[in-house]
Amino acid sequence: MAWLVEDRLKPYQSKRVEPYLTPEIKKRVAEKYFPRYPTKQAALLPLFHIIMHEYGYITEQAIDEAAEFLEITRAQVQDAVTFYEEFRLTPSGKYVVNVCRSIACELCGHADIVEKIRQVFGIDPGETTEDHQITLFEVECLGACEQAPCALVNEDLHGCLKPDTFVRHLQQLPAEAAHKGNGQGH
Amino acid sequence: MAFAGPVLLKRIPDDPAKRRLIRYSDYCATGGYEALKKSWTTPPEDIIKLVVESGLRGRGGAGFPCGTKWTFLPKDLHPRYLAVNFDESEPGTFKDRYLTDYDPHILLEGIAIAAYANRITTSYIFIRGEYHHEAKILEEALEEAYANGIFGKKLPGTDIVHNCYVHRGAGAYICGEETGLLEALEGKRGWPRIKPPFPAVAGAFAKPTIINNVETLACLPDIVLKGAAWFKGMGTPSSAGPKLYGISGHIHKPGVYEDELGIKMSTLIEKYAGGVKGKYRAAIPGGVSMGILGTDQWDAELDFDIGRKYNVLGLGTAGVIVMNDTTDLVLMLRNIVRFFAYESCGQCTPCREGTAWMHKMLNRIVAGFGRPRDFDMLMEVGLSMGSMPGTTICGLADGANWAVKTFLQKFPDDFKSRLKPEQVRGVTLTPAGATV
Amino acid sequence: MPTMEVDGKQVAWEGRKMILQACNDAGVELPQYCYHEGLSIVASCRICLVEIESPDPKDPAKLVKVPKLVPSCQTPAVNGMKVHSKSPKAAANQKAVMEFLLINHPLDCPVCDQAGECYLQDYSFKYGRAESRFDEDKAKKPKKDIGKHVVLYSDRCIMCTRCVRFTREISGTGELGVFGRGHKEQIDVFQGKSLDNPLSANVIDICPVGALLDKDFLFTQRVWFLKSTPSISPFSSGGENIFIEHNQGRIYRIKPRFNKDINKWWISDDIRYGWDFVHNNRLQTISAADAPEGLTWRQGLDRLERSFKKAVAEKGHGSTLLMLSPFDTTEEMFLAATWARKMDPGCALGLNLSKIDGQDQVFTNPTTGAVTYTIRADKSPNRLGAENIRAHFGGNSLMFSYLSSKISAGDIQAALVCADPIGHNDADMSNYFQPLKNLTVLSSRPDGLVKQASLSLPVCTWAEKAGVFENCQGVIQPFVQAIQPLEGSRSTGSVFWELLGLSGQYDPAAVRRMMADAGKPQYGQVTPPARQEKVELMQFAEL
Repeated sequence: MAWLVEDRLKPYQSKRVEPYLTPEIKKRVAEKYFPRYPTKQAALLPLFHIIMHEYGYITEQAIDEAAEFLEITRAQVQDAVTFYEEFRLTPSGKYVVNVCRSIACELCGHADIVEKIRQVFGIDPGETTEDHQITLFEVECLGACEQAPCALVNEDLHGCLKPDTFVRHLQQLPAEAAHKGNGQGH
Repeated sequence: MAFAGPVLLKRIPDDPAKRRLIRYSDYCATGGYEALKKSWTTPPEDIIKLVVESGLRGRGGAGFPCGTKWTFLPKDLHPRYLAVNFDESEPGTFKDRYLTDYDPHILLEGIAIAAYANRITTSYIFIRGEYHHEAKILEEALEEAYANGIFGKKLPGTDIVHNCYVHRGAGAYICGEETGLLEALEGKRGWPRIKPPFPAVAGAFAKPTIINNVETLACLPDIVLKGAAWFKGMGTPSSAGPKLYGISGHIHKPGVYEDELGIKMSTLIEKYAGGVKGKYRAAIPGGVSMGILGTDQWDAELDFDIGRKYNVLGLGTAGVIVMNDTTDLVLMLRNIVRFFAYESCGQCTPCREGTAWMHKMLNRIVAGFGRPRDFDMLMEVGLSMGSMPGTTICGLADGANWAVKTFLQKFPDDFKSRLKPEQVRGVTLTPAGATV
Repeated sequence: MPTMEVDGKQVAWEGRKMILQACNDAGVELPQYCYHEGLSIVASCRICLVEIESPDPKDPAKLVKVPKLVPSCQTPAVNGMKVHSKSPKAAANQKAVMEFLLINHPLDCPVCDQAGECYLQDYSFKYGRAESRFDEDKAKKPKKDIGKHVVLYSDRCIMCTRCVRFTREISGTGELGVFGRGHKEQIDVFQGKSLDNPLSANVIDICPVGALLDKDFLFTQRVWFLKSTPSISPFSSGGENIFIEHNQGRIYRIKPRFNKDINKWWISDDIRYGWDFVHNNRLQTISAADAPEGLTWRQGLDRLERSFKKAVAEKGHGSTLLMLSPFDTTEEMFLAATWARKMDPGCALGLNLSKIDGQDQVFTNPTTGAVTYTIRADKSPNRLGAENIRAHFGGNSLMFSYLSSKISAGDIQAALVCADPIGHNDADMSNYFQPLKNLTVLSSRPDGLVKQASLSLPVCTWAEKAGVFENCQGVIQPFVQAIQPLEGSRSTGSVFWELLGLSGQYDPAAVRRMMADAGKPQYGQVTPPARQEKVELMQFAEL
């Protein structure tokens, strides 16, 4: 096509040799989740929670492999995966900081938290620090309005935040996170 | 009215320092699973009848009578599923999370009772993805319950082996809608389904399915033990029983409190939540989709009739958000509309396009470029969407509709003062339709 | 038959039908985007909402007004019901939906292929408002090359999901999906798994707007210049019903024509794009090896007659051969065989080998298992017609291999071959006819047997003539002429019409009457479709 058009025909780039769905992951899903549902497709959310937990984000190759595994088309997998906010298709830092921006948190000062993070770490929502330590997101209600303002750092909820102490906490996070994603693969 | 102390929160101390996770043994020691044992010796039809008689209405937002919902299941059609709606994503709502944080077994007992009464094959607890901690608690509690024969066994009097699993969502508000939840359970995008068929006939995996909220199910053990009359003794004739109220915003003691249905909002704020920080201006009665209560509606009774009486959509989840007189209501409405624009699933045209349009309009107004005609435009776009006018499949857009409508109706000056006639090179343009 | 009243008009239907379907069948217009009779109902575009008054189940004489607007696509029609699509409430919704769909639409109709057959344009005119009240920035979405035949303009898409449902329910291949959520969502394919199933281009037809466009047709013609002629697929034994869309003697595209028993709403891509042979590589001159300057039609026909007469005179009856093409119409084959048997009562009748591509390809709906479409392995449109003609004339109806052995043995002295318009069996045919000196070929293309023919006559393709094809299930389907024959060429029918000395112009209907008189009554009952333009959705007179 002569003019500016995204090419969807060519194969996706950055394919790596070793699979994202390792035999262990497949075994875990097959043994734990497949028996729970009448269809294999229903294990899609649990499977991608595991992938998020292991790798921190979802690649095209992971979708490709998952489609094979769940016996649905690639488009059906991507169709479902891109619907859910927690399933991210781009890599993030070791710690994903999801600051709640919904109404109770806005009332109680979520803007101060985000502003402080912006000042100290130099990142806007959606950005990652240069050392790949922290990625900041603003998200809708985390269901902890009594602790507003609140934030989810990977899998842990932090409530009643004060800008200074929260930023100090983020600065003191160890260099190696316990897990890469904010999904948990139980 | 006879509310003699907490029912659902009876095992959770008021003092935050004393709260801890109630394990299976603690739960049983305080009368837990007695109701399940009692129901196992009762014919299932009698339990359904009991729940119908109790007048228990769904605690998830819509307030549909729980027992009636159960009677919609077609006879002798198996397998049947129970989907537990723990996708608590409505801003201002955190009651189910709080309950599960400390007392997960009350939910599991409720599930076991509902499963027995309805001959359920599999129960799925659909918990929102952000609740990592609560998912872990439930997994552990389930292990305890399985080990003690609550699940994984034949339902008494049948050959149906009942299993219960946790299914985690992944960050989509719309999965709190019954059929959006079912789609997510099936591993698809959470687009709500068109009805009919209703979930009771063809729900999860096209099989009969009932969907109940966490708090609704948690009411069951006490109904079974103490009876319908006891339950109806609390609340009002149309709104029976105890209720968890979550309260947040400009108040001194935000949290979850239990009282009967029908208490005044002022009572909730002053008796339980330590009063308003500053001067009361407005409040959201039960999650942002319900609209807003005005300054003069301070004494609104929190029950299922609130919508009719106070020009809001309804009680919703009873997650009250209080705003004092320093609050910028334009910013609050933008926050709410942004929420709906962000969470709209994108299926129906009016909701997909309309919420995003209103969000852009409010952004412009907040930035200082509002024009007089924007007030009517906002109202028109807002009113055109929702399942109540019939223009969308599900109720998500009703939330946007009611938020916009009630904000503009109850606080018009907050908005009108931000709208200025447009100027071009210093010349004020006349509003559309005016003659020069 | 149950009836209901829609905007004051009576609509009757049979069986269980939704309001919208009953109206579509009765020709009463209700606006619709996401609804398609061949696909599942999603009720998501919300433009088909109507107000209804339904009979009270307790007292059917009493009508109860439903307070909400209801989606007519998803609400069953009930006997005695009243439907209002022009009431203030319904009209306000149509206006609102049109406005919502257009706020982020680029409004680039001047450069959009769909302009002129776009439901956004039509409904905007009929149900929308004249001006935009949207003061904000429009969302921008990219163009995407998503398949062999299809390009996607995401910014024009209205998310009706017809295309997604097509790939999931009809082709069963599921390449398309909705990616993202809310106002940011887009139709897309997984990178590298493009839309390339054999039915892929149908998504272009069902797209109600200019989002999915045909790469082959892209920017070649404004649709309002196109004339649309009902026809039958020339490239499949299934007898798929099509429209030939053409302008000034040139075909621009082929579109499917609804036939509930044969192809429903769909056609395969090889039918849609298989008409290259009409405009490319055509034979235009009557040529003979000894007349390099060319011949006139009269001279050519004389030579043909002479070659048959000479063979019969030298070798007697049975020394000639006529090869029929299953790409010709039944009428043409009837005339050809009639002429051949008149020249030589023992003339052998052969039949070109069919083009067979593997086996029939059957598509099913993965959920229901229902067959949605079949691509026939046999690509010749009139094999059954040809076999019927051969059987009708009887006699030396011989196997192809036996014929070729007779040619090698010199038993056949003269042959007339009606060549296929595509070169699928050129090499074989060339071998078989190598020994023959007296070979006349009727062909639309200058290659194949033409190269070794002693005489070749240019004939035209199916688009340039009329007649009937008989599909593999025995359904006789007439079609009409779409474009004028290419200069220099004539239809095979007219060649034999003249050779038989019949008066006037070649008339397929007259031939069918002759066939009926000759004991084939089924051909006498065929009524060709009117040469109408495509039925317009909008009846502007109603405005």
